[in-house]
Amino acid sequence: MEKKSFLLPHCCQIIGWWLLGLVAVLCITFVIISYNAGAGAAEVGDFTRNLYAFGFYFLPNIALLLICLSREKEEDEYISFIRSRSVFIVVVFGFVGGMLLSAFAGYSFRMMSAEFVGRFMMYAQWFPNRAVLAIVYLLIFKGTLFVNKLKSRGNGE
Amino acid sequence: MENNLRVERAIKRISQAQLAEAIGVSRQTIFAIENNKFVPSTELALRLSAYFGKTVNELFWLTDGK
Repeated sequence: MEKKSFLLPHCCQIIGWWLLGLVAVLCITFVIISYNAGAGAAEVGDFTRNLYAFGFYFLPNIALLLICLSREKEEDEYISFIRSRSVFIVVVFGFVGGMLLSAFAGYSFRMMSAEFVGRFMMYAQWFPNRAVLAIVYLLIFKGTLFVNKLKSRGNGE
Repeated sequence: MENNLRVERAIKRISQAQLAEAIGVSRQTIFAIENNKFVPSTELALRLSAYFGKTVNELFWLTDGK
């Protein structure tokens, strides 16, 4: 019985990880350039600024998308089961967490200072952020796989 | 649900890795099934029963005795 998988091939995951590495390199170089530019940060230039906007926004999202939607090297039904469970946890995390935070923000508008609410909302907006959700998903999924691999070692002979 | 996969594997003197390779799944899957952490699909259960030369009911059973 052949099953059709909607996941991308494993090579796409490798490409995604390389892209994330490239983003890390861009971040480091941007920090170095900004530090050296100092008060003359405006001199960085439009081209460089656009390049880094591309590197900080577009590339990470593409990389995370490739990694999350790609097959593992060994993809079977148990791995798919762990994947589904990880997605469920992330949905709960993003949806319920965002809902609770919005409710708390609505409550705190009346009770807290505007500055506190503003700062709170600044951090709360990260909850439904797609990059954060993707990272949480990867932490749960890859973490579960890693823990299972450790547990199964030396227990199967 | 429980199973005696570990016993059958010991009778055949094969490791989890060898069984996994023969069935076409990962070693983690075999480990999870043996430790009742994961219920295999019908297809996987049939493959395991065919490999060991047993029926599915001889390999897997419900814990409430039904």
